[in-house]
This record gives sequence, C-alpha cells and structure tokens, in this order.
Amino acid sequence: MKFKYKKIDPWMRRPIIPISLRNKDASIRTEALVDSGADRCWFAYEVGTALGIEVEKGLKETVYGFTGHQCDYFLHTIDLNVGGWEHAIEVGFLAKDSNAPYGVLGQSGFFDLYIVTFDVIKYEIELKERNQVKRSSLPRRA
Amino acid sequence: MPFGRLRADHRASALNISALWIRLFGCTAKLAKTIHLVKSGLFDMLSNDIMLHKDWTNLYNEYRGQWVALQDDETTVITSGATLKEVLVEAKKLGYSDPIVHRVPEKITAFIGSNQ
Repeated sequence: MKFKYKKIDPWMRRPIIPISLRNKDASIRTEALVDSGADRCWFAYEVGTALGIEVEKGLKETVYGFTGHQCDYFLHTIDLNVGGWEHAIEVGFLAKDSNAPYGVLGQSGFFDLYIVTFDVIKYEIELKERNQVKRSSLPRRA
Repeated sequence: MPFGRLRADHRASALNISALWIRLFGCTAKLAKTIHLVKSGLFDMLSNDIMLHKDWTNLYNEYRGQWVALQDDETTVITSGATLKEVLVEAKKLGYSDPIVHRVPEKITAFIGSNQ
C-alpha cells in the first residue's frame, strides 16, 4: 500500500497518511504523521472523545518532545485501520488543550506492525504488513 | 560518449524530465550533469507539484488552527470549525457522515517532536 506525502507549503512535505480509528461501534477517519522517531502512537484528546472514550480514565503518562516540551497523555486500546489492515493497538490520547496538530504513528503500534519505506524523491510512503512477526515477541514495558 | 552518459544519468534519475530536456536541446554531458543536480531542486519541485503529492498548501493557508472535514480525496474541504465535534456535526448535515477530519496546525514550522 502506497501513500503520497502531503505538501504543506512550497518547501515542506510531510509523510502524513489517512487512517481510521475505531472503538467499539464508534470510528473516525483522520490523518497522522508517520514518525519513526516517536516511541508510540498519539492522537488528540478530541479524537478520543469523538470515539466515545473517557480519555482521562486511561493510564496517565508523560511525553517529552525533542525540545523538552512536556505533555501528559492517557493510554487506551483501540483499533487502527491503515489501508485496509486493522490491528488493535495501544495509543496515547494527549491531555485536553494539548493543541496537537495531528496524530502521530510511531514505533509501538505502527512500525512494529508494518515495514515502512520512505521515498523522498517520489514523495511516497510504502507500507507492507509484517505478518511474520509475533507481537508478543516484541519488547514490552514491565 | 555523451549520449551514453546521458542514458546512465537517465537510469539514475527518479524522474526522466531532465533527460528529456537534454535530449530535446542537445546539451553536452557536463551540462547534463549540472542539469541533473539542478533537477533535484526547482525542476523536481515543479514536476512534483503536478504529479507526486497531495497538495495541502491552500488548507494550511486558509484553515490554520481549525479542524477541517475533508472528502475522500483528502484535499477538498467539506467544512471547518474550532472544534472536532462541531465539524463532525456540520459535515453530517451536509451529507458526509464519515469525513476525514484533520486539525490544521496554527504555524508551519519544522517538526522535531514538539507540539507544533
């Protein structure tokens, strides 16, 4: 499955892809940045509430950006659908008023499920599902 | 042989536009190499603008800081608003029960893991 980069100004393109999130009967389609530097997947608080999730009831953790910016988030398990492939993954919903621009697809919950190829000449992201990898064999938090 | 080098250059390039340019105007191999380097800049930008990516420049110019509901092409705006909830309600009124929603950042800055 291939996706096109998004051109956001004349000199900047980002690997942002369409995805779908589902929680029980509620689902929402949104866009997320494919970010190999992110440890896990994060979405805005509003996305969680639109899925009928009581965001603050999840396990609370804190994320730090490259610049040291700090933000709380809450862990929940939802279904992530990318290009027709669907997996139950653990995601963080950022705290209210976090002002997050868009979702982030990181190592746990995305890169451990897909082989991701970035082609910055063709402005293309290619995903292949890792059906050979047992997720239980991946390192987990104690 | 210049044309042979051109063909090698042609194979190496992701796009064939510079090679086509060279063939049309009969450039030398040295000039071809220069054009190949330039191609990765402005020439690619022009060709890529037409073919290779989804263009969100208008989205980022007109809807900064807002939530937008998009059609399946990911570029046509159905509606926009300050909150995701109001955008979903308005899109549904307009006949789009399952739009693609996206919050446009307030600023366009390099992304290094912070919130904007």
